[in-house]
Amino acid sequence: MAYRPNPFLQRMAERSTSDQEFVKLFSPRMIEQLDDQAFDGAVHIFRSPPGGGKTTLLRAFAPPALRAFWNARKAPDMAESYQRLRSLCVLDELTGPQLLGVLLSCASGYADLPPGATQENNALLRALFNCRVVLRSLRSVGALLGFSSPADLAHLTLEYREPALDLKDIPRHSTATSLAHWAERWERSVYQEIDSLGRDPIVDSGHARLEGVLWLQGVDFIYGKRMAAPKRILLLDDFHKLRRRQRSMLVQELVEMRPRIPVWLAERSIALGDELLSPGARPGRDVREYALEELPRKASKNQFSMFAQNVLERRLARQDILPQGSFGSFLRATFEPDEHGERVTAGIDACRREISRFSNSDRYCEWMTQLEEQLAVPDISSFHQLLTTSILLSRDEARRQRTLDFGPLSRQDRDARDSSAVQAAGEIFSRERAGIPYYFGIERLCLLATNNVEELLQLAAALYDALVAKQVLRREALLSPLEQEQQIRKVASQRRDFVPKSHTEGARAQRLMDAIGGFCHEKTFTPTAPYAPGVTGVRLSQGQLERLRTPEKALALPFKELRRVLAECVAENLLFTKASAESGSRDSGTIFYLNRTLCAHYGLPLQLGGWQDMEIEKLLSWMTRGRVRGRGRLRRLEVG
Amino acid sequence: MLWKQYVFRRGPDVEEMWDSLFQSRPTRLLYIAGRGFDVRMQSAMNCFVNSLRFAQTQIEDARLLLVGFPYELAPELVELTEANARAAREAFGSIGETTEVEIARSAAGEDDLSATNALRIATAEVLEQVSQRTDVVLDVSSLPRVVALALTTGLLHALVPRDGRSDALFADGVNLQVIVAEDAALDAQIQSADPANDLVLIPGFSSAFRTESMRDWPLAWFPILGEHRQGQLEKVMAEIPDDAEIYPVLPHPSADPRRADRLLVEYRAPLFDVRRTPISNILLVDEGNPFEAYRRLLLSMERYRESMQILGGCRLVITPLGSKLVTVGAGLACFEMRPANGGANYGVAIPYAAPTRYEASVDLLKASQPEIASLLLTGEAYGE
Repeated sequence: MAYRPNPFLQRMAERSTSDQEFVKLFSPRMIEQLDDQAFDGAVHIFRSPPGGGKTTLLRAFAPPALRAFWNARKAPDMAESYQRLRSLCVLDELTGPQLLGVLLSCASGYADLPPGATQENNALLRALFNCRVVLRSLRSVGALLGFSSPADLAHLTLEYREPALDLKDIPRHSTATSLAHWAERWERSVYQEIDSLGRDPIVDSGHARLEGVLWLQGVDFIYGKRMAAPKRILLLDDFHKLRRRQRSMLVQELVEMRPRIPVWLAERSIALGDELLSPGARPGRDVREYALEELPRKASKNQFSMFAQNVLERRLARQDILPQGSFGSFLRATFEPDEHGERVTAGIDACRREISRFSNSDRYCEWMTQLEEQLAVPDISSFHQLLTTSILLSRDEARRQRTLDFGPLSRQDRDARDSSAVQAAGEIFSRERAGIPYYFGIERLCLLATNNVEELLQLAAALYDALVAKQVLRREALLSPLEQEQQIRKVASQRRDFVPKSHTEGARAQRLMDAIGGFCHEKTFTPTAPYAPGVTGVRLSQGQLERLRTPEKALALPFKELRRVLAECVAENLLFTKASAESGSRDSGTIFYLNRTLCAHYGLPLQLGGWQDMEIEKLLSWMTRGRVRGRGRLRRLEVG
Repeated sequence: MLWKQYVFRRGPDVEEMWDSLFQSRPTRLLYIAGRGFDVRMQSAMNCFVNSLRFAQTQIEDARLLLVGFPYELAPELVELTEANARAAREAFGSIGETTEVEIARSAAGEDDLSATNALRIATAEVLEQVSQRTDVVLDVSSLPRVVALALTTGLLHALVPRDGRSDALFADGVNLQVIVAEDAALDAQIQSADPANDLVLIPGFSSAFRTESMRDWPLAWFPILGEHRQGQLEKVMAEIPDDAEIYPVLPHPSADPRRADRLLVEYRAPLFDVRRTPISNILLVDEGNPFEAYRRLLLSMERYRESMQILGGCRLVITPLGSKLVTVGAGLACFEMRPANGGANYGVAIPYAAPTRYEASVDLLKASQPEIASLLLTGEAYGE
């Protein structure tokens, strides 16, 4: 049998995926969410966890992708992308791409330049940056104009205008070939010195400014008497790969330069710091910041779901094993009438036993009668109702002890106390108590991705493999809720188990995740479900955050370690943050929510909302020693 | 090919070679070893020091250089590291002094020092000790792969002239040996974890991976596979372009004939599911003979370089995740392939995702019965 690759496993953004393929896989919704102001002359910082779409977004504006968008403009599935790019004046109907996107990666060795903030070392950083901007720009113009080899650069001449008339370090050559040679020679001579195995490589560059940006603003590319690519954008990917000092120096110099072209910096999400902002730079005016994972959320609640389904459909269209259709159509979103009958019966029996103490009470007489009516047909829906009633009974019991209210309760009282949150709690309780599947259906699959395409694709890849296996066995290509949950939980466990093998602070991060997961589980499954549908995050108040940022001397080291671990957890999407506003009784703060795929590992609900205030000392102890195990069934979940 | 003829001994033959190499001659010795928890280093050193005594070598100067690393270890492994260092100093004390070099975590004026910089600084510090020596011994038994490679290639760079002369390996008569106390089963039990987010590039082998001017050249990646390194492999793979040709290197023949099969299964997802590597790209290298691994890798790299000349150039990238012996063999191939000047139309890079934490059973470490192997890389044996 021929080997058929899983289309969900292929990474999209890497530059070597063919441009035509990239354009097909690219979801136009990403550009649709972008503010027009992102194309203003300023420094724009885009943040997301890995797989959140930074490189994909930047690559969409690099010349090969723009040419591919333009070439495919008449294809029906390209219409949305093409129209959006036209409205941004990135593409012109007659002449094609107008924007020269110069895409550079900051992972290309800047951090390995000699350490220390000497003038020579800063000049070396600028010099490498300058010659790389020049080199990549010239190659990008070549790509935009469809040159087939570097030798074609000989047809390109260069003219200069302000601010490039005042360049000191970049020579103002009139041909692209000679300038490219200058940049290549210079870069290689730097690396020859770095590779020479000396203790302190000595390279005297003398570059005093980030002239690459000025050059890009002020150079005209003339090809056949016509000016090519009048609009420019500088795209710097992997900005987090620079050393901290290098990052702040570059941002400061870029901001002070007041660029007339947009300079986009893409980096991983950061937490607990605003180190990037240089003194005097004002967020909003000089530096504009965008959280990529927030873009769909800001636009509409369901935008990520739409975006995610669009991505899945495009992937699915690239294979021919399963019939074409939406990915969701292969995931059964409802239960069959008799599905999980035994589990439901056992769950109902156990729950009945638990609430039997309320049976003889006059106060709950009507509620119990109503419940018996609902349980006349014992199925998953009635089991959910039973669990919801059980939560409401426990709540009333706890409340009654405080208020001494003993009067009977009507059916209307029950309905008034019921809510979608309690219903949702009933649903996750049914999974916890009787193993009724919870993690299934396309909507929950999108939630599990935590606004991250890479995570979405990982989950979808596992589901796709299960579908193909069914197809091979000549069964219907449709996954039941239980089959979906099994695959999702498998991916979730692998995600959790792989943390120490894939992150620098992996072992500590895993202990912290296990502790937070166990803690949330304990809070979620309290009989009264006080934070329905459940707790999935912890909050640090401003006061706690301040202590973490500026700890007293004795705690400086452990707090620094915790800061590093929390920052890495956010950067790696194990946790994601949300601001929590000040209210009458509490300080403002930051909520650290668990990654939704990890929620599946810890058996938690997927909704946002439930969180608990936390003290730093507790997080620190969880990170270093793990959490002291709770009672009963929680033990199973907290085994690290 | 530099090591067309080579000197490689293992087991009892090693001591025999040392006896004849050091027989009653004056020596100025530099012995480099890791200041790690791996007690196999003691076996190699005790054996070496005994051989010197037996050969009645005239020791004019002998120095033991212990290279320390900033890894995070469990308390029992920290204790073992200290005991190991003490034992090494004691064993070597009868013939010379001991000094230490630490791979730093931070540099003056910076709160984050890249791992590549830290390695470069430490390698340079070691190389400063090489002049005036007649014998340099590099014991890689307790050195992490990345340090072993940096020192092997760095020492070769310092000793072997690159001007094409036929007796280059004579190296002015300086005998450079790499010794390994090998126990493949124990290697597989030592777990590395928490790989650093930033890749380390072996000093001298970074330009091909980092320069913008080479970025558009095709890339061939040779990951040398070993057990339990998927996290590290994926860190490196994240920076390998999707259109790279991948040539997974597997140990075969091996003491365990099924080892290569197991490794194929272990790495199926990243290499074959995600990157669609053709099975025909797999390279098999002899687990027990580093010079065979060297020869196989060198010829493969040569072939790729020649094929890609028509496209203007290429990049050759090796990531060592396998056994120490094969790692040393890969180091030799990279050293020989490395362009002598910056104008060449190809480049060689060795990126690696170094772990920041190791886990190992103290009992297993102490019970290990390694076999000592020695590669004599330069010196009198290669004279006219």
